[in-house]
Amino acid sequence: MSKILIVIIIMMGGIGYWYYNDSQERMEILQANNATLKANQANLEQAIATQQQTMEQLQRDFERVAEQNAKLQEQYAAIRKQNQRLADKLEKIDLEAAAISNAESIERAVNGGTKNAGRCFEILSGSPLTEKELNAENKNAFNKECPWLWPGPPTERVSGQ
Amino acid sequence: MREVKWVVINEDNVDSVIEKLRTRDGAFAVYALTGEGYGNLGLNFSDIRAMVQQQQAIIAAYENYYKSAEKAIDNHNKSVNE
Repeated sequence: MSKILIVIIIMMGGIGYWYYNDSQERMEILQANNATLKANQANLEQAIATQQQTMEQLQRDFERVAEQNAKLQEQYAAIRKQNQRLADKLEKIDLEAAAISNAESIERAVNGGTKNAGRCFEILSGSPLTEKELNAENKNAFNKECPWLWPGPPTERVSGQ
Repeated sequence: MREVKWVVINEDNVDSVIEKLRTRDGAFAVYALTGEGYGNLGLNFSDIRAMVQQQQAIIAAYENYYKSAEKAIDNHNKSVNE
């Protein structure tokens, strides 16, 4: 009887030993899995944060593009209006009739206009303003062909600097 | 820009202008435009000027965009490094 008990105790001990080892292995595996999951979660959180930042950056980029585009459209409208000035002026003037009635004065006007128009190109190309242009008190005194390039009254510019 | 000098000639002053130019240049020869041609030339120049202005506006818009984009990238990189 006692032999049977000893065998049973040894078997139980063996099963206990096996169970302990098996549990430890499982726990190690679970701990390793847990660490992997934590690392994956950290990576995912980082990826989400990066995506969030990217989306915000794209949104800001889009706003910047829209802002610049709106400004550009405003400038285009102003340029079209400026370009229309000469067409409007020419519609009101019969150049041939003017040349017949007063050749000298129309000659002075077209020479002055041509000189001013050439100067507009120079200013647009980055030419520094002359003393006369810098001291111009109003748009027409600056240049009748491109008055919109007038930088403003000299006094305001000095105080604005 | 190079100087361009226009001479306006009509039926009344044609002889005096011919004489004046003969005296000044030794001979009379001109490249002529009608009133309409002159007007069209002016409009063409005006269109070219508008085109130059449009191109400048585009360049300025790109410049503004890229400057602000660069600033945003710098700020982002700074925050990442911190």
